[in-house]
Amino acid sequence: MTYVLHQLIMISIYLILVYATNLVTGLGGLMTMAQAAFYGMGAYVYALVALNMPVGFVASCGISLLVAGLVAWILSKVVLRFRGETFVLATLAFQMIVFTILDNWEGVTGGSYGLSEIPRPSLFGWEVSTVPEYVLLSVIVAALITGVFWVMLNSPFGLSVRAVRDNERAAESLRISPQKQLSRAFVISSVLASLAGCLFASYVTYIDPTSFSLTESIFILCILLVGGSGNIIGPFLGVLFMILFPEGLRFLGLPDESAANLREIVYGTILIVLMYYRPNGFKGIYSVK
Amino acid sequence: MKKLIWTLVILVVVGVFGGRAWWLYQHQEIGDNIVKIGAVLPMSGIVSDSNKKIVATLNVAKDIIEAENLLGNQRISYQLEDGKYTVKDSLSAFNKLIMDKPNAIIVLGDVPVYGLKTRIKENKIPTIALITGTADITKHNPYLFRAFHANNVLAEKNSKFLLDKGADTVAILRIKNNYGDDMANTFIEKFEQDGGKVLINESYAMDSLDVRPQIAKILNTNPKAVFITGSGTGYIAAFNQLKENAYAGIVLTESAIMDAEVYSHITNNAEGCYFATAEYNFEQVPTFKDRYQKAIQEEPDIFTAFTLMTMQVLTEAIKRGGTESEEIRKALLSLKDFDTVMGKVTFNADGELYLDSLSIKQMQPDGTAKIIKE
Repeated sequence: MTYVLHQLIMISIYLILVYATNLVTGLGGLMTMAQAAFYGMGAYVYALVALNMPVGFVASCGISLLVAGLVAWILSKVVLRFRGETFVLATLAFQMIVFTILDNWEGVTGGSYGLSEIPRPSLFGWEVSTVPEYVLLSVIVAALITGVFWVMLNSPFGLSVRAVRDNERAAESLRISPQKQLSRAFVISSVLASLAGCLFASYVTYIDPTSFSLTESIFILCILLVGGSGNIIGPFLGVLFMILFPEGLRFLGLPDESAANLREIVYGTILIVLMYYRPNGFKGIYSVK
Repeated sequence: MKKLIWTLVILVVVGVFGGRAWWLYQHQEIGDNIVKIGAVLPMSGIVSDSNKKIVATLNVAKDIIEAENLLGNQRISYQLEDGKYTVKDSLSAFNKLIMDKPNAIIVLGDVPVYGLKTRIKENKIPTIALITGTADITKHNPYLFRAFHANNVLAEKNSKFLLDKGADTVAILRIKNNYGDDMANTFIEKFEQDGGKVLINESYAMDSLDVRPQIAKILNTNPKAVFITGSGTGYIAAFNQLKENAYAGIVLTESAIMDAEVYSHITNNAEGCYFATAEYNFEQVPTFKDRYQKAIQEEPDIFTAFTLMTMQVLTEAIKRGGTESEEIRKALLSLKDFDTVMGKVTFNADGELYLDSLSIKQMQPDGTAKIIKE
């Protein structure tokens, strides 16, 4: 049972991450490679605050989101000058910088040792200490974020970001400022990613830089592309598929010596087939060029 | 038509998964006489090279335990899960393992052990941290035991050896991960305490092929010894490229050099280097070596020895305490000078392994290692 509950928690965390990415990539049309950096930033700031200041879960998360938002806002001033491949490279560079800091700033982040014994959340007297309780917390947060994203999708803000994605000049002619709208989307997306980081750190109680590497950014992007970007159902399907499918392969009972490699081959092959037949993902309305 | 094809594909996939799951459910080993041992191993990913020998050792150990009736009428059933050497995947693997309520668990590697520490404590399952070097990793966790030499223990031996050889200045070239950092940090602490000086502490990525820039910086400091630690292609490149630069001082390393695959890429460039290692003797389990060689056509090495030792201590603990997790934990703590393939072993109250057989070896031209200091 714990295994199923654990998968539910991971689905909730990734759902938040992928909706966050959807905001910039699906709605804004900019492929960001920095999601794991904000995810990691959220996790580390939360852990550092929770380990050193007894301010509680909500305040620790609040500080973490604030830091991520501030960094994202400053970063947006630079990276949003670019579009297309240059934007990808700029966010990739930021991802590398954050990873290097997490991996090397031993005095603060613990370097490659990471941070351990991170306290479990306590919300208004509710000690979230067991896995079922954590499922409840993470599912509630993910549902809230889904709701927020759904509202945002058809709000004036969501429509203007989509307008910028489809034709920046035409959007400008309607007095929409591409820079402003994309910057807002980028900041909101980073704050949401850092919220996922807070949940991850408090659930696992141990974080190290390898959990927030470039591979993780690529994985998050893959989920979005497989599920389909630009809407609400695509990311959900992507998360279900990308989290549950490799886990399902554990139950195939392949020979121990070759099981892991065979599973990776099956997983890779299915992804290629999927991308061939469904280039926009399961339910995508916008394909990233 | 398209819908029909997709429906068929989904049905086939569900059929394959469902059918296989049902078959496994029907064929699972259940009963009072089954001892379940779970393992979280890096079966895929960047550090999966060691997996083949670990799995082979576990299987051969199981055959021997059952053939020699070491657990009476009880049989061992393994459940091996891929943790990919990441926190996220190890957590998934661990959660799947505990579905089957294993009597004990083996976890390989520093990162997975760190990631699972809280879960191990919460689930109260005795867990052996195999090939896990980070100092103090078993502290404050009554269910965690180490089956490897701790980095701080190696640091003590290495420091004393270098200073005895007159090498009071050292440069470090380490792998960039928590294992390498801990190996370097514990060494620096001990070496500088003993009066030596570490001139430079450089790192490389596990998959790097060129470490010449780091070597150039190291050679610039003119150290009396270079300490190379880690694994992967970066470790191989470190030896080959240090030799390329005709470094004439002492080269100190670790037991990774004895890995057949690693050594085959370094060969003569490792000649003369020293390393601290635990002693092992496969004659202690007479049929093991032959069975192992037959299984994977390879010579057993130190990682094989530690895995075999893990199974030896678990078997003894189950023999003494039964299959209840709490009893296994207590029995592991009660092992004092227990004879294994690694010599006499004892666990202290923190689950830390004490080995009486640590020595310094030197690589010979034929690829063997000779003890030069007990």
